[in-house]
Formats: sequence, C-alpha cells, structure tokens
Amino acid sequence: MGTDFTLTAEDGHTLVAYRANPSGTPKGGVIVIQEIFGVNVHIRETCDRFAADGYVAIAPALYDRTDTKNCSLGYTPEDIAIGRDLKDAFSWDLSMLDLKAAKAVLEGEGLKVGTVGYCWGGTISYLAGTRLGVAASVVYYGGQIMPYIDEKEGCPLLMHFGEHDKGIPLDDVAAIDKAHPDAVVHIYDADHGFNCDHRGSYNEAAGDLARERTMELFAAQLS
Amino acid sequence: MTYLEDIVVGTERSFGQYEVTEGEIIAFGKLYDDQPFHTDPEAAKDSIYGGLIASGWHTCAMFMRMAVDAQDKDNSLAGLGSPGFDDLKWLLPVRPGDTLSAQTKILSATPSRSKLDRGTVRIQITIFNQTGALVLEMTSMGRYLRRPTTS
Repeated sequence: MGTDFTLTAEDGHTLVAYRANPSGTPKGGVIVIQEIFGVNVHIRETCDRFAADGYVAIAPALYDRTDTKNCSLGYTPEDIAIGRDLKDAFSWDLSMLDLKAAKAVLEGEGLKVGTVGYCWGGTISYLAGTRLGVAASVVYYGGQIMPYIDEKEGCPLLMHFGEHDKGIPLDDVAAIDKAHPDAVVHIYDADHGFNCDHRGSYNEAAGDLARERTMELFAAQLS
Repeated sequence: MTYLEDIVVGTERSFGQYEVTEGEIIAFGKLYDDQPFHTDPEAAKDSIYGGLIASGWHTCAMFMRMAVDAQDKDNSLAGLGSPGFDDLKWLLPVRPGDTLSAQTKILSATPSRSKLDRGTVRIQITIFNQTGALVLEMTSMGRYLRRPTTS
C-alpha cells in the first residue's frame, strides 16, 4: 500500500504524487508518468508493481495543474473525452517541472532515476530523456514525439509501440528510430494501450515482454 | 464497541500529520535518549547523521500519539492492550521539519486457543515522512475481547 504526498515544483505549484516503496534497500527510483486518465487505479497498481520489484515508484499528478485536482478517470469513451481535454490544458514545460520535483526527491535519497510513461505520458517520458538528465527513459506508445524528434536523449532510451496503433503511424516510429540510433525501439503485435490491463487493448504477451525489457534497462541503468 | 470478530483482516487506514520540531526532539532526547545527535544540534552536525535527528523511540511515541488521536471516540475498542511487537525497523532518520503520517493494515485476527474470551490482532504499521519515504515499519500485536455470547 503506497501513500499520497505533496510535491512542490520550482514555480511554487504544489501537486499530489503517489509513492510506492519497496521492502529493503531500493534498487533505484522510477517516475511513472500517467496516461491521459490521471493517477488512477491502474497507475497506482503500476507503481505498486515497480515497488514489488524493488524500486521506489512515484507517479506525480500532472493534472493538478488543471482545475481537476486528484483526477482519476477510467477508460470509458466519456473518460477518454475528459482526459483529452485535460491533457491539452497546459504545456510540456510545466509537466517537466513536476517531474523535476519528483526526481529531486528520489535523488535526495541517493537513487538513480528512470522514467516510464504511457501514451501521453510516453511523450513526456521521451522529453524527460532529452531534457531532464534522467538515467533511463522508457516510452510506451508516446504519440506526440514527432515535433520533438530532433531532440537528443541524454540517457538510454527504450520505446515500445503497437503495430496496430492507429494514432501512431509506423512511418513515424521508423523516423523516430532513425533519428535516435542509440535508442532501442520495439514494435509489438498489439494496439495502443497494450500494457494497460484495464483497457480492451490489453495484450498480455506484449505487455509482459515490454515489461521484461523495461526491467532489464532499469536494472542496468539505475543500479 | 468493536470486538475481535468486528476486526476485518486486510483493513487499511491512513491517518495523522505529526509535525516534528527541533524543540520536541531535544526535549525527548534529554529525557530518554541523551545522545548528542538527539540533543545537541551543533554536535549533531559532526555526527554520522549530519544534523539533529529524533530518537527512534521518539518516532514510536509520535506514532502512538497519532494512533490514539485517530481512534474512533464513538466506537471504542474492546482492547486489552498489547503484548508487544514482532519487529521494529527504523529505516530513515527523522529530522526537524519533517511531517510524519501513519498507515496500518490488519494482518490477522486470531482467537486465543487457551483463553476463549479473547484473541490477538496483528497489525502492520508504517510511518512515512512528507516525501512518502518510509521511516519506520513494525508489526504490532493487540489483544481484544471476543463478542460476549448471550446465554
């Protein structure tokens, strides 16, 4: 059982974050970056799972910058519509400030920090890799990377995409791969959102394989 | 009145916001744990902790304060005290300016085999500071009366 606590970003904004702690000495710190649905049950479970594997996991409530504090949405069409509006309400730069606050907490405890983000959070995780100086960046089906394709990552970058994701053309994935020769890019026989076991697009085989690769990267980079 | 049978295994509670102050750390330290890193901010800077930290026993006492404050005054517990705890870990230093909060989880509620009117509840206790880091973990035991049978 994790806990909610308050982060303060550099610009003075305060936000809630969910934190799950491992038992024993942590192997590293992981910032879990939400989809468009807020720090909901699925994101909390995702943090709990990283904690079970030995990492301190923190999921900042990025939507606390909107009027919808403590946002926690499901995956119905109505939730998707609300989530889409919320994500458009503010800038990547502000999300970077929130991630930076989480990073400072983890580094203050002597931990190396990796990020992992899912869909909208996937783009944010990519930007954390190019802008925030994290030790590893993992991107699950981030769909808004193209405008930032020329940014160079400062750490190992691992990306997971679904072959059948109608929102992310495979040509774009190929372009991202080409622009980042050191990055590792995997394409799975799956749809957008394949890691999320609360969604219809959940694909257990793809999710398990992507996770295995993610954990390998974290083990190598965060220890 | 809450009896043993009313205690549900798996129940989780979060409570408390205890602000840790330098004055209280020093006062407790002087009374019960008179070592320089608990009582002397200047000397504490040269210690392995780099500054004043609360005695671990003080952290336990702060938890106890939070726990009593969080008790439901309208529904008292048919408690018989505690025979102790299985383990206690102090995981991180607690410093002036920290804010502590607590979580509990009921691990088991077992009737006594020898005394038929009571049983033992095992409770996992965790204390967090304001960044959600774990500062203390313990598994405590509480004894409770069983619901009296009308006969």
